[in-house]
Amino acid sequence: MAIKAPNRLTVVYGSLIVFALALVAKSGYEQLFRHDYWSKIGQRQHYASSGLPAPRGLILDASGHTLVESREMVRISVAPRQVRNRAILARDLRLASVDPRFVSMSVDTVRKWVDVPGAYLPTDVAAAISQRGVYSKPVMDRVYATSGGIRRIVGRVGPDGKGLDGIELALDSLLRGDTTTVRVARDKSGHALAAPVGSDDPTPGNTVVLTINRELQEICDRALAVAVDSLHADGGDIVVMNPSTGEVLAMASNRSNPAAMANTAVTEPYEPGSTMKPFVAARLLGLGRATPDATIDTYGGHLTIPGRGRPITDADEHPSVLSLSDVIKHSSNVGIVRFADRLSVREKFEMLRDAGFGTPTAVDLPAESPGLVRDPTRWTPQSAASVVMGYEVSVTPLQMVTAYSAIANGGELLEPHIVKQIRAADGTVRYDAQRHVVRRIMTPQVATEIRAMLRDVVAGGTSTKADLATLDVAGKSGTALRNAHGRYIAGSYTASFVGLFPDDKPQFVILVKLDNPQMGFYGGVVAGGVTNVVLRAALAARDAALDRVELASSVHAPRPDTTAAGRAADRVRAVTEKRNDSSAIADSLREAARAVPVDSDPRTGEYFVVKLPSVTRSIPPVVSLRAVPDVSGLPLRSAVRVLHSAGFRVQLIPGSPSSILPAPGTMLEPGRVVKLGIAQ
Amino acid sequence: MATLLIGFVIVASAVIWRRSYGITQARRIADLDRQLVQLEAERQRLSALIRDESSRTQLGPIVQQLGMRVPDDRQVRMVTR
Repeated sequence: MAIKAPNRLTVVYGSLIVFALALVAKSGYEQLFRHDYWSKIGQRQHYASSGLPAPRGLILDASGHTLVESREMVRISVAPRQVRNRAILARDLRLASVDPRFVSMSVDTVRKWVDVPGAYLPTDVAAAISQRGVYSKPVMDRVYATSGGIRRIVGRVGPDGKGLDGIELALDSLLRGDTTTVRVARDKSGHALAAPVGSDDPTPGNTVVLTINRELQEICDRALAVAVDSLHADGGDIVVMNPSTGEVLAMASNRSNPAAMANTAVTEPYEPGSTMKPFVAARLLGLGRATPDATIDTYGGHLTIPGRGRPITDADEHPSVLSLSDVIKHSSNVGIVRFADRLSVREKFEMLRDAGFGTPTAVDLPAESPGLVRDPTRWTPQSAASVVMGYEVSVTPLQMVTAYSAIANGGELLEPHIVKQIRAADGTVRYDAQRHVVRRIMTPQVATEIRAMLRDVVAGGTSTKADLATLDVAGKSGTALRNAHGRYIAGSYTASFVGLFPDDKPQFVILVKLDNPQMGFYGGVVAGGVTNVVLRAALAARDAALDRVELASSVHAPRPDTTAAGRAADRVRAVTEKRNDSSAIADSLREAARAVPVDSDPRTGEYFVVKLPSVTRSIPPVVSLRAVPDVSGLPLRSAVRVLHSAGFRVQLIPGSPSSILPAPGTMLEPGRVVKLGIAQ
Repeated sequence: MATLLIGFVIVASAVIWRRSYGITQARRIADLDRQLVQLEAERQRLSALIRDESSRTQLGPIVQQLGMRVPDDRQVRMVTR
């Protein structure tokens, strides 16, 4: 039997069946045995891994105001060959303020990939990143307050998200959050579709609460900027501390070079000059070597020490015989050197060391300078006299404020701190600053006696500019020659004042330091004046870290201001209340202008005008009134010209020609509108 | 057979519609997420602007031009209650 050859249809059917079976078999094989392989490819095509940045922690002030926060920015990359409409993309990138060079590169199809430098606000690049071929990556950026002082404290963050200086550097590991990598579904053009798949949110950084009071900080920043500018100083620093707790309430620094962003109140030591004297007095009292009333002859304020090239002199006029209190009040160099002879070299060194000079305060800020207190074995024969006058010793403003806080709080040297609290993102408190006593440097009795001496300095000594009318300020000024390359520069001074406010129950210890002021240099005058400005502004502010209930108990009846400026200001205040007596106001203003705080150099008799932001500067100028001219009978053009030349603005109104409102002869301020009638 | 075919078409259409709907919703969520980020960044920019503009650094020169001044301590009353 012959085998029947399959016809063509059977061959086709058979082939199809074999193909179908092969397809099913292959399909079954891929599905059953290579499932994982295909699943991985599928996942890779539909999902993408993406780093989700964690927001860096907030930095708040003591009242909870935001000083620094994080915001999400985007970095963009462009694949020019994938872009459909290059003209629109170029326009969108230009609108987002992208560098024109990179705009051109982004639409240049010769390139495969362009990373556009910089981070952009999502709103600015929203149009660009919605286009095909544009890829975005979120990054976190820091938003800082504009206050220069706060910027110096909180520091900066580098492009890699790491702290560079300030609190950002000191607490970098705590502020930085935990970034997570997430998988996001993406569409066919590669854009992320929806929320991350199966991942945890990134953990934000901890919130850091500082002891800084924003309002007080701004007051200090502003007062310092005005003082540095008007006194033509090289720079300056203000530090305010709560002496009961060691909290730094404000820390302002200013340098004539705007690029200098160092927090110089902790990094730059200076020779303090006479602000050192109260610590000498405290040590004398503590060791029983003197009493506040003990007297000494100051030889008319001129003392020559054998072996010391330059004689020691006093700047302030005073009687020759002074008590220890008067030595502080008049800031007598001769007096303090002679009293300090009762202390050994070792005791003088211990006085400096115990006050915290020469060692870092351990404040929570990087790059703190320890200052300089040389070992007594390296002292020259003149050093024993120099250190008690505040020379041959360098301290940072923070160290000086911390030491004065001990005088204010009854003798305890506290560890200053600027971080009040650290909170996790869920609100858990991770760190709460505690008052930390380093050591007791004087007894409460001695501290009280020193405070009384400091009160005398402000009430009738070298620093009356710092005083207020209804609250008492205590303090001590310092005027020290500046040192460069081991030599003192004639005519270049560091003017400083450290104040306790109020004197009986101090809430602030405030240090104002001005470097090389050109328009007056006595610490009590220039720095004391700035202290007064800061205290007045703090009293007037809504929240400047003052306990007003407690402060109210220190308020007394106003003292008459016996200074020329004060008398003039009183007169201005009195006549301003009358309002109408413009000539009296003008007289008072003229007197006030003549009586701006004046500093004089007793050696040369030369006077310097010190323009401090005082009441005399902020009085509005007196405007002279002018009579409205009579323009009746004049052509319209001429009438308008006459009125303009008289300083008035002209409004034309329908009415009888050349009629004028207000009537001719009325006294008006220049610039006021005068209505002139024109024929209908 | 025809019923089977129609059933298959209906089921296939339902699956495709469901996937399309899911993708549309996912895109909307992604867009809303982006908008949220944009608005949050804008909020932060504006609040920083308010903070800066209301700071003494900005207001100081203006109030001085207006002839305003810091009150003397004699003009300040301490409210203790």
